[in-house]
Amino acid sequence: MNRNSTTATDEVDTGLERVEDSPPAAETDGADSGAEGRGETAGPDREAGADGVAGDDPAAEPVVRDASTDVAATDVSAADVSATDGTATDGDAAADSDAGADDGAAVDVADPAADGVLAAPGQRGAGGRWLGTVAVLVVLLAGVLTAGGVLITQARASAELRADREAVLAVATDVVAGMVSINGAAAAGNLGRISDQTTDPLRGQLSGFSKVFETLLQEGQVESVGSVGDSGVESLGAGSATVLLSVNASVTNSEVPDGVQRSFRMVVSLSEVDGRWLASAVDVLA
Amino acid sequence: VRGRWKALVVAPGTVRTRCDELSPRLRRGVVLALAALLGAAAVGVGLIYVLVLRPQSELEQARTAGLEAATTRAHELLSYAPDSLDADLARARDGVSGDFAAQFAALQTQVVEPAVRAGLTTEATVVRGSVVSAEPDRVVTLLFLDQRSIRADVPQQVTPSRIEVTVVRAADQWLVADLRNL
Repeated sequence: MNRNSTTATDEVDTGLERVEDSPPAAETDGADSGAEGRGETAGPDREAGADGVAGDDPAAEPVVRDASTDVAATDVSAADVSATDGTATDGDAAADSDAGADDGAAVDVADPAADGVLAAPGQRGAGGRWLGTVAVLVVLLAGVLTAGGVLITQARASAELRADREAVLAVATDVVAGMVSINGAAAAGNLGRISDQTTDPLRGQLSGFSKVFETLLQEGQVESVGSVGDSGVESLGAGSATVLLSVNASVTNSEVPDGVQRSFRMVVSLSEVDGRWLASAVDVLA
Repeated sequence: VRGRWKALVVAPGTVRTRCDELSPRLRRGVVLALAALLGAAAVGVGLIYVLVLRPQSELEQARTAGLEAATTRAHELLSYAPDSLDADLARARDGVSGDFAAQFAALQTQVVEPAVRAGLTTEATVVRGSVVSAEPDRVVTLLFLDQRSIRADVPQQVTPSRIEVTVVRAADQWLVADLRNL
């Protein structure tokens, strides 16, 4: 009988209340149990690896749980000797101490704070089931959050689309209103204000012809008072848009002092430049 | 507790064993917290869909379908030929709704039918169309159209015009609730 083994057994018996509940298989062949445990134990400290006993045999698990005591932890080496000797003259005790001491050591070495945290008998695999439940919940949560992210992105894109529609309608209406309500005296001011809401090629045309246009208006005593009726977005894409406008105007000049009513089908093309919608072309549809 | 979580992280190879070491109360708490979070997230996502995204989606669908219907209906309501007058009148009547239906029926009887029976052929072609405003069941459109008129004794005329067509959703189709020449 190995003294170390005896010592370990004594101490384990003292420290572990359930060592005596260990299954016969573990009790009759402590060395084998230790060998199996070695193969299954992941931790570097588990040389004897009685985890194998605890993991493979439901009845042994309470031993593992109860083994979470410092007493068992201090005798890992002693129990190891017993397990590896294979002399098992006092096999019951050796095996018992092997199982109890090694598992206790595994728990204690990894987590000394685990003292007193005991799983109830019959809870074998509770940690695994819990982990599975947590994993499923986490996956579901990730899925829901991902779906939420997608929905929020779509909602934001839709809100931006609405804002863009309002912006292009406002710019198109403002530009056209400035062009159809004009006279020689106010031409420069009108065209200057319109120019701020335009981009090329319309911007270039306005700056190139504004002086000539002003002269023509003044010489012909032309005055136009117009208004935009309906307006609607025909198309709105990435960086470009088209707006249709129904325009009515009363135009007077030196030859028609009483004025004449005119109606126009106008098409304004817009481009998004640095986040601003600007009119790039104004066409009158015949 | 912190030490146990640390142990889970430090030795991932023994996660299952370590989980056994967590107290039942802690495990139950974690599951309940995750379940509550999942429930709250699901409700939030559902609300976003029901209150924000679905209405927006319906509105976009209404814009597209309404403009398409207005374009088609405008052509049907303003196009007649002597050879197919009865069918043209019936088709046009099927495309109108509400108070406008009665007004349009009177217009057909008093103006359209006599002129077409006298030999007039008229065909309206929508050349440009846009949406002025949209609601899920009601869309107002601005259409530019060219109306071609043919009579035996008169040269063909093409008259450009602008019309505002309002369409409303009725069951699974869009019907004209108003048509105004601008």
